[in-house]
Amino acid sequence: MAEIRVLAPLDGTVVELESVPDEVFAQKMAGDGVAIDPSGQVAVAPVTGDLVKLFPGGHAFGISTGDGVELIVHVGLDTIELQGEGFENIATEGQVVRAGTPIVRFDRATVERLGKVILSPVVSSGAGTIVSRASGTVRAGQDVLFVLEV
Amino acid sequence: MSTANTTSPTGTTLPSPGGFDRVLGALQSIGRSLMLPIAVLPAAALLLRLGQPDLLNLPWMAAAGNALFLPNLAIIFAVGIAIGLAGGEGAAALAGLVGILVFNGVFNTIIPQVGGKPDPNISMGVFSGIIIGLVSAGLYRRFHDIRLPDYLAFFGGKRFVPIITALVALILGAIFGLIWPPIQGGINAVGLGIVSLGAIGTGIYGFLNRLLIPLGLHHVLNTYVWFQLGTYHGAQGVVTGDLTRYFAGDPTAGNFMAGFFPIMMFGLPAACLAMIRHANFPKVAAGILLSAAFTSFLTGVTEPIEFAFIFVAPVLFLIHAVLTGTALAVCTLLGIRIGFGFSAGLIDYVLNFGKSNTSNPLLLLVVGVVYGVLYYFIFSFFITRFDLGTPGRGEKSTGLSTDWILPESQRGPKVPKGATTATSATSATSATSAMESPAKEDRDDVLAREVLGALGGRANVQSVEGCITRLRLFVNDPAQIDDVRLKSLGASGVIKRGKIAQVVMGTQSDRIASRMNRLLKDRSSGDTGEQVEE
Repeated sequence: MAEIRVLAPLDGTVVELESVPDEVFAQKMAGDGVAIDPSGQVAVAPVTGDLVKLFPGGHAFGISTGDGVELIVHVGLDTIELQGEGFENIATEGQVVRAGTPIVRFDRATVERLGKVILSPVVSSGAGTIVSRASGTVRAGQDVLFVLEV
Repeated sequence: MSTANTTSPTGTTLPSPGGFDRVLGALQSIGRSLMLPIAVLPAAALLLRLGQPDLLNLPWMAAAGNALFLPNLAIIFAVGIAIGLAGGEGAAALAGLVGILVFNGVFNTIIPQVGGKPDPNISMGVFSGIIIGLVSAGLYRRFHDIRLPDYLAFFGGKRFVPIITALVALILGAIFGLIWPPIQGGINAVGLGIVSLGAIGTGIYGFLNRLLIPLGLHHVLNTYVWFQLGTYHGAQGVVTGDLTRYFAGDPTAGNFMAGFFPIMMFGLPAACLAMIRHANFPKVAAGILLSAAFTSFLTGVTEPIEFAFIFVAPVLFLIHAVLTGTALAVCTLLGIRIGFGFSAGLIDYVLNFGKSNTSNPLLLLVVGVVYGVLYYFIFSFFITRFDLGTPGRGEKSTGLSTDWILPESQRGPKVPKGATTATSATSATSATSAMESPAKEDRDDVLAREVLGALGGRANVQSVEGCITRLRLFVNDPAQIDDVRLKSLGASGVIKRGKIAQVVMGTQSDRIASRMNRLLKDRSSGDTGEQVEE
């Protein structure tokens, strides 16, 4: 049993996943985790691993570690419909990233002006169960968001 | 882009594009565009070296390799840079070729003539190619859509670019034809001054030799040092120059060559290892750097390595020049003397190992190992400490993508092997790794077809889009969706809201959606609306 410390990918306030107004995330169909109400403008890698998925529109990315752990960061809800507006990719899909590596830059004001909720789910979609999670405010790339036991 | 904030989450401020960054950005664009011409150099170097009289003695082979080097490297650079900076445009490439030919023609007419021919010692090396490549690309950007008066319309647009480039190259050729001989003379005078300083002299020579590579002026210095410096009364009469004297048997010759062996056989290959080690895409970096390292080690041809980082990380090149200087000085101090007829690679080392006036050749290997270690750690330190944009890495400040070194057609989405999919599943078809391979693509296709069937077939699916964890669908009749079958295919949830349905398939959703779109497109022409996620 190993513990993996997943860092917050965003600056902001931790929100329970169940209260996210999106059924797939709220019912944890996509995996267990938490959401962040972001205050910053850059999403960073929560763990070290391969950036297996980064949408061209920048609204979501997935990172996979070697041992089956996979984390998804979804910036805002239904933001795929913005087709990249308000988002700017920093990293490249397929590259190796370290925890804290900047992945996507986003602009909350633009996302909200276009009618999307900025609440950002961070879920574990691979191996492991969450044994503890943070609350209150977290800083991107510095504070532990939740701990996975694999 | 306009929403960009310049503060990263760790608090480091990304520089705004000021003058220095713009220069650096321009340099990096040049470095990137050089990858096209550099790709031919390792093979050319091997042909050139293996064809020499002291090895296979195949003049045609040496000529084939040589054709891509000294006489024509400037042409290759001109065309390659023009293509790279103009985004692959053929008109820019033709402009680069026209430009360098005109430039060389004018330049060779204006420089001093010797015996009715242009002085063969006056040359700008690759520098002229770099200038013309930049000029061609710049003129392409400026004029590729120019509209000329009707009677000249034939010459408008892209066709105008080679024409205007020829004109500009003519003027540049004349200017450089006038100013280059004195510049070269100045370098020569400096060379004369430093070579008499013993170890310090060889050190400064080594430093300048590398530093002048981008200007092509290292050949000037080399010509003087290797073929004119010093005299020796040998069996074949009086000879001059460190290289000539060495091969004539002068026991004091070789000081201006020995120090290159540790650099070319050990230092630069170790630098390649460091660059590969710290790449975000190690395999990508290894593609060019491993062959380049091997070429340097074997033949002593270093351009493929040096041009791979000279423009994207100039500080490394400065370090490289300093280290080369110290290597020459160290070898002089240790009394190591060995020469080369070609360059300081393994081949020349072996050929000259037992020569009567070679001294301390084994000690040279020790020095080489030391330099290998030095290069590895110094390069590693600078690359990671300053986040330098060497091949296979990215550069935040200039926005180079991390895989910039690859041809454009080879960049972009690629799932590294070893990664596993998220909601891997109950059904055999979906329990897969995310590794991209032909077999895997087939399996994705199978899964896409199965999912499409479970959704009620093509006729029921109006559109599908893949998000990171789910398929987003518009369907005609939600009642036809088979939830149970979808779950057996790996779905962890199915949500229906009127005609909108979402199927949670994990991170493979995006790939499955694109396969489904392909199926929809292939078999139903036109009547189904679809959105292809790009």
